[in-house]
Order: sequence, then structure tokens, then C-alpha cells
Amino acid sequence: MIILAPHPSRTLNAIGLLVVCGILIAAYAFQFALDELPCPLCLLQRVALVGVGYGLCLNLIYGAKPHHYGIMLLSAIYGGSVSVRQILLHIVPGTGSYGSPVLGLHYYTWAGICFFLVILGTAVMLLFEGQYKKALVDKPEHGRFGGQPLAKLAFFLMLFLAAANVVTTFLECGPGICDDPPTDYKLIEELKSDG
Amino acid sequence: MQGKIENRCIPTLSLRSLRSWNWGPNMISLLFALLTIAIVLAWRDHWRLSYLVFAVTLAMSIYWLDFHATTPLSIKL
Repeated sequence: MIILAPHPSRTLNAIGLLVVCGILIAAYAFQFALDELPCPLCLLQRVALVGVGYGLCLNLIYGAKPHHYGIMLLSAIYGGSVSVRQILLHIVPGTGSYGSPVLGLHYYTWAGICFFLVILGTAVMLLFEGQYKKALVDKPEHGRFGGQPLAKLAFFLMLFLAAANVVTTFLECGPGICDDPPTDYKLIEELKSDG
Repeated sequence: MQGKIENRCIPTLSLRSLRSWNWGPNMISLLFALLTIAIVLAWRDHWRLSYLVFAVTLAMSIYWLDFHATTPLSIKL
């Protein structure tokens, strides 16, 4: 059996979480730079990414456990299902697409690839049994996040991005069902029309 | 004086219109809010509650996927 100590496992999880944060930041960059509002299915894919991030956060706080990886797998399978739904929606020629292509592929296709890679990466991480052994668990003096600044940085960046998505999604959709496709930030327009 | 009263009324009007909206669990932003709460709960060592919030979020997400997978398409096939 392959042995991986908790410390390098936590570092790998922190790097994974930073990658997830990077994808969410890239989504924001395209949203604001190209003024392209995310559709409801795109938002659900972001929810799934935050779900994957939640599983990684648990690994950073409590150390790696199989059920944390399970949470990641559930979120990634959910996200992959939403991506596949959106890919299939536009797979028939003449049905158009949503958003600008990035390196020839649309956002939802990239999201599908990302979720597939998350499933693959999580399955590989589950092979390393040593990370779960109590004898190898971090010492108490290490404190939270195993005393790793990288893990702390990744965790708080994820927390910030999750909270930012609450705000931007609420601005876009308001308290009701999101428009499909969205045309503007519904809540801002509503407040403007009142003003 | 009157002008001042009108200025004060602007935020009140906005809040009134917000109250008239259909607030409820049918918000995608609620899913992000629940996940944020789950992360904070995990950080504060309330891991059982955190898992529960995640489970509720996942169930609501599945509802939303079903909703968007079964609503009539806006594109012509």
C-alpha cells in the first residue's frame, strides 16, 4: 500500500483548494471583464465547485479522511451532471452556445473537464492510506490547519469566494428564480428603477 | 424640508419593492449561503451541523438541477 503522511497530504489538499479558487476567480474574471452573466446552470456548476472546495476545507481543518473525499466526489459528480446537461443542451448543430469560448471550448465544457479531473484526483488521493492513520496525525502543537500557512491561505480564500458568490448571485437573480438567460443584474436594476 | 423628506424616502421605497418580491427557498444564492455557513461551521468545530448543512445544500442543488433540466427549452431544436 502506498504511504502518504498527513503533512504532505494536507499540502496537496491546499494546492487542490487553491486550484478550485483559481477556477472560481477565472469565472469572475470572465463575468466582469466580458460582462457575461452566468446562467442558472453555470451558477449550479459554481455551487458544485464550492462543494468540492468544502470537502477540501474539511481535509485542511481536520486532516484527510475518506468521507471528506466522499463529499468532494458527491459535489464533483453533481457538478459534472450539470455540465453534461448544459453540453447536451447545445450539442445539436444550430442550437447555439452560451458565453464566449475559451481556447475553443465553452465554460461549461471546461467545467465538465474540471469535474472529471476532480473525480480522478480524488480517486488517486484515496489510494494513499497513510494519511488517515492516527499515529501519523499532526501533533497538537501544530494547531489548526496543521500549522501550514498555505492551508490557512487556501481556506480563507475559499471562504471569501463562497461569500462573494452569495452576494453576486443575489445581485444577479434577486430573491426569486434566476432568469434564463440572464440579461442584467436584476436586483440592481430593480433598485435603480425605484430610485 | 420637503426635499429632505423625499430623499429619505428613496431607500424606503426600495425596501418596500424588495419586500414585494417572492422571497423563499427558490434562490440559487441560498445554496452559496448554505455552503458558506457549512465552511464556517466546520472551521468553528461544529462538524456535525456542518455536514447537515452540506446535506441540505446537496438536496436543494439536486432539486435545482431537476428544475433546470425539465423546464421548457428556450432554444429551438
